[in-house]
Amino acid sequence: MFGMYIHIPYCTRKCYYCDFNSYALKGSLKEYLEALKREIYLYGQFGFRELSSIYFGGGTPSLCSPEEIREVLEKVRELFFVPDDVEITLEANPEGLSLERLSGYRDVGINRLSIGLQATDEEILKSLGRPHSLEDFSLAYQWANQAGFENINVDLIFALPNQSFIQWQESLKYVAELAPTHVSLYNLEIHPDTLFHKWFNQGKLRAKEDEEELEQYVWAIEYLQGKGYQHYEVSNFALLGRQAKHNLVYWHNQHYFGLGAGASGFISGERTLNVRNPEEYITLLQQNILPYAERFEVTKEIEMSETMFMGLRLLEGVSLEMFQKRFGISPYSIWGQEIEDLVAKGYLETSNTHLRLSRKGLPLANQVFMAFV
Amino acid sequence: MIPQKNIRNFSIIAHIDHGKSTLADRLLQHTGTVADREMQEQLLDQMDLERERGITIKAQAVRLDYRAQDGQGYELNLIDTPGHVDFSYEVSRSLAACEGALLVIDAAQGVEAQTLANLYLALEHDLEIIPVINKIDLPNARPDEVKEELVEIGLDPDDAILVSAKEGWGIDDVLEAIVKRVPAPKGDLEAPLRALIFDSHFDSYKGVIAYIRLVDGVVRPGMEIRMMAGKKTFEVTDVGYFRPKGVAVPELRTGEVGFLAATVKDVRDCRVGDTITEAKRPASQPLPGYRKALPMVFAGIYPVDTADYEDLREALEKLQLNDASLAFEPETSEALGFGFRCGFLGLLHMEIIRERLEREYQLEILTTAPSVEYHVTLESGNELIVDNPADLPQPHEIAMIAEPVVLASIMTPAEYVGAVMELCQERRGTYVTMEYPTPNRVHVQYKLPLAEIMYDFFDLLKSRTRGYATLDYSLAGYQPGDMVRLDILVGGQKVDALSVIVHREKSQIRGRQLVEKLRSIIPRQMFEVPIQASIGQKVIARETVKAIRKDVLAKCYGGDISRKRKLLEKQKEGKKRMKQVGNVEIPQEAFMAVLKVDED
Repeated sequence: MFGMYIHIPYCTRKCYYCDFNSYALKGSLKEYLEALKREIYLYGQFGFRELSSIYFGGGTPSLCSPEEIREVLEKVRELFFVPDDVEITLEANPEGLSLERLSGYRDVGINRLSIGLQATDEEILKSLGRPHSLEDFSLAYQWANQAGFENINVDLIFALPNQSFIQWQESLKYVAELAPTHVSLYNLEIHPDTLFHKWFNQGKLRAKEDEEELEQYVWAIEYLQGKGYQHYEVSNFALLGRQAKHNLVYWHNQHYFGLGAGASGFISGERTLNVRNPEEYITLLQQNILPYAERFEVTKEIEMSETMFMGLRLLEGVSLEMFQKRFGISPYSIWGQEIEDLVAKGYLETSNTHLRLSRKGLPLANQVFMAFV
Repeated sequence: MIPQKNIRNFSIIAHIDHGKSTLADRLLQHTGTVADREMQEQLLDQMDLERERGITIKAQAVRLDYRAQDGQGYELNLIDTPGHVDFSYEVSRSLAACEGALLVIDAAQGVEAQTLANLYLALEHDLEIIPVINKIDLPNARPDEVKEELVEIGLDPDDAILVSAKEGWGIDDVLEAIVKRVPAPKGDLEAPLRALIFDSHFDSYKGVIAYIRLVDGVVRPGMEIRMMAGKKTFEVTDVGYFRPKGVAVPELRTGEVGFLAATVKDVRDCRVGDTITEAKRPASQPLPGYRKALPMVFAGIYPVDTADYEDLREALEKLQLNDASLAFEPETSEALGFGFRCGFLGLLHMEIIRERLEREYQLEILTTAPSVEYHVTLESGNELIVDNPADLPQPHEIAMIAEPVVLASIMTPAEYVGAVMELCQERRGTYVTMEYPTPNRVHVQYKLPLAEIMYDFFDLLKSRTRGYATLDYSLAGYQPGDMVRLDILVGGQKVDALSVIVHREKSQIRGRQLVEKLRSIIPRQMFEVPIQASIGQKVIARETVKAIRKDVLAKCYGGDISRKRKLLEKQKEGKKRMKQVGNVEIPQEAFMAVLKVDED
C-alpha cells in the first residue's frame, strides 16, 4: 500500500513567511498538469499498485479547476488501484472558491478539504501576506458544507509576531465554533529565504519567546480537547475517527509516491526528491524522465531512526510490537541508554505496548528526537 | 656574472596601505621579472590570507635584473617587509639584510605612525633612505606638504621621488635612485663564508629553506656548512634566488641575497638570525643576530573535539616552521581539557594563526580570551610569570602584580588631539610627550598598559578621529598595577577558560558586561543556567539563561522526512560542537566573548 502526494507549486502570491516550494502563478497550469500526468504514467509502469490515500498539497492546489483535478485523478485511477473509500484530500485557500467550484471538487472524488485559514484577525492576515480575508474563509467554509464535504481540516498558525494571547484564543474559538473534523496548529518557523527572515534579521520582526509560544500551545491543546478533539499528533487534532489518513503514512514511516515539482517520496527503500523548479520539472517529463533531483537509499539504520522520531510525533507513540516486527529488533537494544536517560528526565514514557512523549517532553520534542538520529 | 659593486639590496617600508605592495609589483613588472600577463595584484603576498586582507605577513626576497641608464647591468634584491605593527620584528630582520630602504609615504595621508617607526628601524640599521611619495595621481594628493613633513622627520625633501605606483609613474626614477644611492654591499669574497638567515620557510620536499644574505664568501651545493649558534652541520643541496619563483644557481656570492636548502628537517636547527659558515673553514665571529621575537599576547587554543589534540599539535608545529614568532606549549584546562598556550606578537597575529589552523588544517578550534604576561611577586618573595589568568594565585598570596606597558606613538590631525588624549586617559595611560611635526599634525606619546590597547583600542582610536589617527607601539617594560582575577561561573561551576585579569577599577563593569554577553551567547538549555562573575568568593554580577520551553518542528512539508532528519542532525551536530562544561553546553564563541564586549 502506498500513499500518494501530489504537489501543485503555485499560489496567487507568495505569503511572507512561506518557504514551501511555491511560486506566484503566471499564465496557465496546463503544461504543469500535463507533466504531472506524465509522471503518474511513469510511476504506473512499476506495476498496478494499491493506494491508501491521495493528497493534493501545495502551493495552492485549489488553483486547479475541478476539471483539471478530474483529469489528474482519472490518470491515477487508470494506473493505480484506488479503492472507493480512499481518503483524497485537496488543500484549498479561501480565495477564489465558490459553491460551484467546491461542488465540482466533490463530484470528481475529493472527499476531504484542508483549508488554510492561518489567522482570523484581519490585520494579522495582512501582515502574513495572506491573499484572503476572514470573510472569504467564512463563505468558503459554508460552501464546503453545502457542497457536501464532511471531512474538513482547518490550518492555523500560532506564535505569530504580532499576535496577542487573546487574539490566539479568539482564532481558536472561531474555528472550534465551526466544528471542523480536523484542526492543524503550526507554530511559526522563520525560515531562511523568506521575507520574514529578512525582517527578523533587520530587527523589524520579533520572534516569540519560548514562554509565550508554550502558553499558546498548551492552552490550545486543553481548549480543543475540551471541545471533543483528540490531540493525536504534535500539531494535529481530530474528532473521533477523523485522523488524517494520508499524514499517518508519514508518521508511521510508510511508503508513498511523491509527485510534482519538489515533492519527496519513499518507495522501495529509497527516498526520492523531485527537482524544485517547475520549468525544469516540465522539461524532464517532456522527455519521459522521472524528474529526480536526488534519490538515496534508506539504510535500515536510517529507517529505524526515522520510524522512531516520526512515530514519536504521534501522542500514542511508537508501538514496540510494530517496531520489533518491522525491524526484528527492539528499540531498547539500539537506544537503551538514550531511552533510559530520557525516561529518567521525564521526557519519554513507556507502557508495555508503546514508547511515547510525556506531557513534559511534548513541547521539547526535538530534544528527544535528537537522541534517535 | 654581476660584480659585487653592481648589487643593490633594499627593502620597501611604509605605513600600512601607503602602497608598498603595489610599488613592489610595479618594480617587478618594470624590470621584466614578471611578465605582464603573470601579474597578479600583490604578487609578493603569497598566502591567501595576505592577499585577502591586503597585508604582508611574511618577508619575501625577490631578485630583479636591471639595466641602468649608465648601460650597466645590476642585480637588485628586493626584500619585502610586513606592514602591520604586530610584525615590526620581522621588518627589523629584513632590514638587517639590506643597505637601503625605500620609505613609501602616501601623498594624501603624509607621515604616519608606522612611517616613523619604520624609519627609525631603518636608521638603526644604517640604511640609505630613499623617500618615495606615492599616490600622486590622487585628487587629494599634496606632495609639497608631505615634503615639508619630511624635513620634520629629518629627511631631505629634495631626495624624494614622486610616483604613482598604481599608474606606473616615476618607477624608472625609483630604479635609478636605487642604483645611484644605495651603496653596494661590502664584504670579502675571499673570506670564510658568513651568511645571515633572515627568514625561512618549510618545504615538504627540501626541508627548511633559509632566506640568506651573504656577507662574506661564497656558498654552493655540496658545501658542508655549520650553523654558528646551532652548531649542527649540513650539506647544501640547493642555492638560488627568487624571481618570484625559485631559480637554482651554481653559487651565491658575497653581497647576494637568495635561498639555501640543506635537507634541514627541523626548523629549530636553522634559526632565523643565526649565521651560516663553512664547516671546513669557519668564520671566527658570527654576524650580529637579532633579539628573539617576544610574544606579547597569549591565549589558549583547544581542539573542539578532544581527539584532534595531536593534529592540532602537528599543525602548530608546521605553522611554527614558517613563523618563528609563534610560541606554544601544552596546557590543560579543567573546562576545555588538553590544549596549548600560544604566544603571539599581537591580536592580528593571533587571528591569522587561528584562521590558518581552520583553513589550512581544517581544525575546529576554540580560542580563549587573549591575555598579556604578568609578573607576579608573591608574599613569600617568589616571583612568577603568569600568562594564563587561571594560573594567578589567590589574592592573599600576592604581594604585587606588574603588567607590561607599551610606549604608544600616535599621529593625529591637531583637531583630534583632545579625543586621542581622552582615550589614552580612559585606558590608564600616562602622558609622555607631544610634538607638532607640522602645525596641524600632532605626534603624541603615551605609556599605556598593553592589556588596555590589546582589544579595541585601535578601532576606537580610528572611530574617534574619523580614521585619521595612526598608531605604533613598542614594549616599554613593566609597571605595578592593581590587577584582580575575574572568574566566571556557569551553572555554578567555575570555568577556568573564561577567567580574565582586569584592573580593579574596571572589574565591576567588566564583570557585568561579560555575564550579559555570555547570556546572549549561551543558548537556552534543558534547565536554567545561572552565569556569575566573581572576584575571589564575591559574586559581582549575575545573569540567567532561561530553560528551553519549546523546541519542536511544526510542519512536515509534503512528507519530506529526510529534510526533517537533516534538521535534527544539524541541531545535534551543533550541540556536539559546543563544549560541555558540567551539564552546560557552551558555544565556541563564548570563550572569545571578552573580545566582543562593547565598551560604551
